[in-house]
Amino acid sequence: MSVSASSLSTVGPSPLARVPAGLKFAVLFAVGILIYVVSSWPLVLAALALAIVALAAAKVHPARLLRALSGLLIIIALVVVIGAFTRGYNAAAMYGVRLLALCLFAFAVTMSTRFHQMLAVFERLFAPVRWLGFSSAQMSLGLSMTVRFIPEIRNTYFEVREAQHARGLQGSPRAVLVPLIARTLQSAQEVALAIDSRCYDSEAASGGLFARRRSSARARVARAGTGSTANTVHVAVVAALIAALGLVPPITLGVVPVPITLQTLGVMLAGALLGPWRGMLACLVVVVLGFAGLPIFAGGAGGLGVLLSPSGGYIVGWAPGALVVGLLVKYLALRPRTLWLRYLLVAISAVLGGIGVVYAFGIPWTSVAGGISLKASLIGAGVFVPGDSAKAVITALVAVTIHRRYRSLLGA
Amino acid sequence: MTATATPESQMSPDALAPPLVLEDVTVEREGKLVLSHVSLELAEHRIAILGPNGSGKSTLLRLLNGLLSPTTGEVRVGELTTAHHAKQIRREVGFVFQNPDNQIVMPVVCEDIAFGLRNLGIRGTELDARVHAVLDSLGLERLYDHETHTLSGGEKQMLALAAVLVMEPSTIVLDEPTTMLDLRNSLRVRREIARLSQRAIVATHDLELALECERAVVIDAGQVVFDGAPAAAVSFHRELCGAA
Repeated sequence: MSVSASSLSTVGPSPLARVPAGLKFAVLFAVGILIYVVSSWPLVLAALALAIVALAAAKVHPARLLRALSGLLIIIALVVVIGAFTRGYNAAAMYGVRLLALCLFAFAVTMSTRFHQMLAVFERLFAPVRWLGFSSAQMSLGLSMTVRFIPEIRNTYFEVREAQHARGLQGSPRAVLVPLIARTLQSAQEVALAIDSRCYDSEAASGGLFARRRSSARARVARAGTGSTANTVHVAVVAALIAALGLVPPITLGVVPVPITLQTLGVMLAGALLGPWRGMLACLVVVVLGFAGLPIFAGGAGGLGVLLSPSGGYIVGWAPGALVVGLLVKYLALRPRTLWLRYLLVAISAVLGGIGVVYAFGIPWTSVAGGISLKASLIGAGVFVPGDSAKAVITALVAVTIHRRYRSLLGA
Repeated sequence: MTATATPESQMSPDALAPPLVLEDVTVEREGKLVLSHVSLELAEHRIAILGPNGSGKSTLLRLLNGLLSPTTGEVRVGELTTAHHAKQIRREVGFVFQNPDNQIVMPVVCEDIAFGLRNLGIRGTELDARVHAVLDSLGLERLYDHETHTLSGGEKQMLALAAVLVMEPSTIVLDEPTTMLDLRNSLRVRREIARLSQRAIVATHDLELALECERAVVIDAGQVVFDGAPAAAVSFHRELCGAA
């Protein structure tokens, strides 16, 4: 699968493509909220009709529509079947149609909006990150840089994996991830220098938390490649790492029967490597790029439909999850001198943030979007606990090793 | 100047380029002495910096546009010092990194070239015109809308050069620009360096490239050990490396 700017430039001329992106977005969310708050057949059917009109106005080719929605149709069918047993046929059918209407609508919006228009909407939505010290200019630099680094990190992953294969270490996720992350962080340092040397004015582009902290720490000597440019680059390369890990084949661990995708591992790592704020921003960047249509969610999903689908809450939970992992790791888990205690505490942090917080968003979301009971949603989530726990352990192994090599990573 | 340089560039070296002056510069990093009491005035049109790995070449180059500040001493570009005017100096002194993968920031070629111009506050038709002009002058016009990660190694290095040239600095610093390239691409990059109207300061292991310069400085263990004509510098460097 190729994730690149060209895989997105397929928006043809259509009536819906001429509607401003912000308006389409607003209507989509208004309809989405309305049909979940008010349960009535006429409203749901009207939404479905509106979605079909939007699809027609977006001139989406039916074959393409079917291909893109095939996975989703299976989920919807599953939701209807489960709902039929727990809530009766009528309610189940309504949930099914409602989900279908929203997904079709979201698909029409994604298919009729150019990637950069979509990004512009998200940049406006995420303007509040300014108080973290990231201006919208930095945010858009971060977004572009992430897109640029995804293919590179993916290639590096395969190179490193091949090298470790040759050493007989293919079964060790740490042997692959530590060199991958080390190389990524090393290039980040030079990329930051290169950006500064091309007259990027990082001070003008930032303010807030980072700027305040930096000015107090090294007030006089401003060294290039540090400070807010380095922060932006770190956020971008770790965001690219999260995205790239969703695109590599899932790994199978001996102890866990299900293959686990590495994407949520990336989320835990983001917090554990970069700390709370930059870790959260890295997740936000991936979420923004994915919802804007870049096919970077596990298995090559992308677009607003993912947000509205039953699993959307798990993705929304990434940013707060990484925030909690980062807080715990930065202020608690790396403090002890004993090495095994650090491993243990980082693993616990990853469980609390990467499982606890993420599931706290995901489980109710599945219940609402999928129309199933909270209990059923909770049981469903249980399937992923073993895999996610394994990821927490890998996070600890990798993050503690990386922090021993790059001592200033959290203190930037 | 050597035979490979075009006549135009011989006739029109950028007379306005202010000289780069290092005055008793010492750089210490993590307790280690990287450069020790280096004083140089770099005013020639083509200058090569030679030296073994780890001799302090890259550190010296990074001082020139304020990417690094000296521990003691001063680096000046014309009237400006890098310690106080790093931003203005970076408009005068462009920098091409050894590994273009670390210099390319944007996903698409034209956006990457535009990145530096946007930082200078240039927008609209002037931006478009300058992006097209620089691609045209390097024969890269067909790459305009290519994705940067699909380029070959040689194309990436040419893009890195284009992205610096478009900002029209008066001096261009190149850190081993041909090290990662095959013979064909390194000849191409050398040809482009020879054509530059700007002053070029090139750190290199490519001794043929060094011979095309007017002056060569040899660095070893953080000190200037030779400064003068390229032919003599190259044989000095060969001896230094035990190859003579």
